[in-house]
Parts: sequence; structure tokens; C-alpha cells
Amino acid sequence: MEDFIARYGFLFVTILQQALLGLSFYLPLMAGQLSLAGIGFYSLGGYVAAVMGTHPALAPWRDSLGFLFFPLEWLCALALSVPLALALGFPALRLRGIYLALATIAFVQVLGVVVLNLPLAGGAVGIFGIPQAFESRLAYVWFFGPLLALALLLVWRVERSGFGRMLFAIREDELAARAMGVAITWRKVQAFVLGCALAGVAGAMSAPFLNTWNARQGTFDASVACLAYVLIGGARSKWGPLLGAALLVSLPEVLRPLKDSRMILNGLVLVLACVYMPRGIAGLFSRRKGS
Amino acid sequence: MNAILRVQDLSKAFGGLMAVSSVSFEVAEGEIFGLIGPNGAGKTTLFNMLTGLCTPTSGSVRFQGREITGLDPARIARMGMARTFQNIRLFGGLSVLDNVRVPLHAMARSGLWGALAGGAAARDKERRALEKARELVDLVGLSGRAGALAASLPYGGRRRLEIARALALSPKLLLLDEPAAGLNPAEKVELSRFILDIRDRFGLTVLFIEHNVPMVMGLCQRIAVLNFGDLIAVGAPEAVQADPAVVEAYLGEAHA
Repeated sequence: MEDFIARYGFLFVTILQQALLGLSFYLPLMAGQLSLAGIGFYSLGGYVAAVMGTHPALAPWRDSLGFLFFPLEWLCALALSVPLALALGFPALRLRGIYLALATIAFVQVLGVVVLNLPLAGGAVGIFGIPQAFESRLAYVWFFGPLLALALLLVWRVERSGFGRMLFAIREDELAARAMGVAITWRKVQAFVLGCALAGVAGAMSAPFLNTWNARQGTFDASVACLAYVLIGGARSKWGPLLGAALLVSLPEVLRPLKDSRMILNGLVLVLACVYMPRGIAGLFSRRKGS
Repeated sequence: MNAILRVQDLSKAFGGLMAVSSVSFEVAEGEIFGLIGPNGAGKTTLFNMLTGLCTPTSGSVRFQGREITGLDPARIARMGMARTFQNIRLFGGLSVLDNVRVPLHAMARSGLWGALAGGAAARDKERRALEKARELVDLVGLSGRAGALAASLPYGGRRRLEIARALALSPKLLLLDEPAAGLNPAEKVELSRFILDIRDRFGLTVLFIEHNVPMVMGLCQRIAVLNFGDLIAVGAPEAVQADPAVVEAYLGEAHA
């Protein structure tokens, strides 16, 4: 058992962490909005935690607050993410479909260049030696686990509410939703901000977990990976991002005995998943309602 | 005559094409008003301008005495102008009941905070929306399929559900875009009776586009005829039917 935990524990914690990112992509998708901005907020949240954790000027605060300094980092990431997401969301969500995706990628790229040139963010090297919250990496399950549970509870509540039904109506037919009185831009912005806020807090938790933080955390590649969790797992279910993250994070590890050919098999599994499971893994479990 | 809707010099140009040119008419409160015209006459474009889905090039629309030209369609809908679509636009992936609940939530301004915190007020809103939605689904005879996906309904059922969804906005004015298209004769008779019934029950004014002449003649107090974007006649069904310009538009010059 201990051997198993030693080998796969880190993998498990990583799955939880990545599932949070997948869920932050799923939230705007509830309103049919394909946004890739989540990874930018993840990066930003991580920088907030990294700077707060290492900046000499904050040393007295860190000493006096102790462990409580970590929740303070999360709150600061949240407090930065929400207004920024609102400011980004209103112009961006007037765009639809692929144009929204492009605009949010542009945001991620701009943010990447900004942090590379910001002395506070450590430039290309980034910030390293970020103080750890726990002795063991495995213990970070106490960060990501509760946040994931809270996020799933939140999504569950949204799905069963009038607010959620309006989001789904926008996803189904935006024009009809408008004609039925739904204030579509504001609802889309709300779903977008929820996703960005979740990504920001997940980033703030991840900086100590990963020990170093640099511009590579918020790249286009990373956002495509997050999108893949949702698509492979199932874009129409809150369990989709979780299942997708579990599969995509563990696949390279599980296939490790195959040595060099494992990446070929990894790619093959993804292609087959797209072809044979268009509704994702979660789609296999959900039977169609109605007759 | 107490006009609920006043359309004045309303025009829409798509590039060089005048889809609707300088159309003016009034719809009185409580009346059933028919809008007819050959294909491509601009009827649906006119509907889209009334409901705010497309912006007029010029002219104005007043609804219940208020200027609504250029307002957000969602706002116009919540003010009490509801519509259906020619090519039925339901929320196919949502259940029959949820389709009707969406406009109710929009009217009640169900918000994010209510969804997350779920206080007594939010629960009350949810309960009332559910009750009202059940009533409306029952009214259009779909209570047996309330949990089914809207996309799984047969054609006639989808037409009826779209009307129920529009009624959920508690409209004063209901706009129906070819509600009888694709229905068989028996269903058309049933639909006529249904329109009269909901008009009386909810105190509606109905403005509808229709090609089926017997239905229009039987139901409408007044009719407007559009041809190539021009309003060529407005009046009682018999008068419009005898109007030479209308006969010409439909049958060609030789018959006039």
C-alpha cells in the first residue's frame, strides 16, 4: 500500500489539480462559450501566491500568519481574478464561437509577455523556492480535494437552478434565449467569471505545490490540454473534466513500461476517444433522456 | 381604438434591397391581427424588427405607448412581447418543462447568487416557476411528455411547446410566425380554436403571419398585406380579399 501511494500519490494529486483547471473551462461551456482564458487566470493566481510567498517585504506577515497565509494568498488571487475577468468578459463575450476562443488566446499570450517582462514576476526564470504548505507533496490533496469538491457542489447547484437553465438555454440557441427574455451577455459573463475565479484560486494553490512558477504555466499548450480534459471527458457533464483529467494525466504514466512508443499509443488513445466517444467518457454513462 | 402596437414608417434595407419599406400600421388591444403576403414579402423581417432581433434602418415601433425601437430583444420580451419562430427554435437539449421554465426564470431575474446560496426567496422563485411551467405544459397537452427532451417531440408537439414557452413570458402581445405551417387540416382547426382560447384566457393581442387563407379569414379581425416590402392593404378580411392590389400581388395582373 505504501509503495502504491509513493508511486501513484503524486499522480493522484496532479489529477485533482488538473481537474480543477478542466472544470474552470467547463463553466463557460455551460453557456456554450468556448473560452481559453482560464489558463491565464491560473497563471496569474500562481504568480500572486508566488510573489506573496517569496517577496521579502511580506516576511513579517508570513511569520505572524503562519499557515493562514495560504488562504490569504487564495483570497488575493480571487480578488484579482474577479474584476479582471469582468473587465475581460464584457468585451470578449460579445464575440461568438471561434472568435471568443481566439480573443481569449490573445489574452493568454499578452499575459505571458507581460509576466516575462515584469521584474516582480522574475522574468524568464520565474519565481522559485516558493515556501511549501506541507512537508509532502501528497498532502496537497488537502488543498485541491476540498476546492474540487466545493467547485463540483457549486456546479451541481447551478445546474439545478434557474440561472443554470438560462445558461443551458444560451448553449442550445442563443437567439431563442434572447427572444425569451434572457440577458445573454450578462449571463455569459457570470459563467465566464466563475470559471476564471476558479482557475485563479487553483493557480494560487498550485504555486507552492509546484515549488516554482514561471511563464510556462500559462501557455497555449497548457490551455489546449485543459480543453482536451473537457472534450475527452465529456463537455456536457460536470464529471467530464474530472474523468478527462484522470485519463489524460495518468495515461503517460500508465504507459511508461512501453518506453518510447508510449507517446504514440497516447496519441492513438486520444484519436480513438474522439472518434468513438463524441460525447466523451461521461457521455457513455449518461443515457439519453426522453423516449 | 386603443393601440397596443404602433408601427411608423418602419424600413429595413439589406444593402440595396428594401426588405421592408416604410410600413405603418396599428394593432388594437385584444384583436387578432393577420400579416399575410407572398414568400419574400418581408413578413419575418418585420417580426424581427418588432421583437428587436434586427435593427430597423429607419422608423419607429411603439409598444404599449413606449418607444422600443433599438431596445435589447430580451428587454422587449420581458416587457410583454413574446414570439414563436417560423423554423421552430426550441432548446432541443432541454426537457419540455425546462423549455417553458427558461422565460419564467428570465422574468423572475433568477440570479447566480440565488443558485449558489439558495435562500428562501430563490427557492420561492423556483417553486413558482415550476408551478407555472407545469400549468402551461398542461395547457398545450404535453404534460405526459414534460420530462422528455424537446427535440424528441413530434412536429405538432414542438409547435405547441413553442407557444407554451412564449406564453410563459406573460405576454400582452403574442407574435406567431406561421404557426400552422406543416400542420394537417385537423390540427389547423384545433390551432385556430387554441389561439382564440388563449386570447380570451390571457387577455392577449395576437399578431400572426400565416399562409393558410381560410385560417386567416376565419380568425382575424383585421389583416395587413405585405408585398415586396410594401404594405399594400390593411383592413377587414373581406375588404382585403376584394382589394385589386392584393389580388394582383397574389395572382398576377391579368386577373385584376
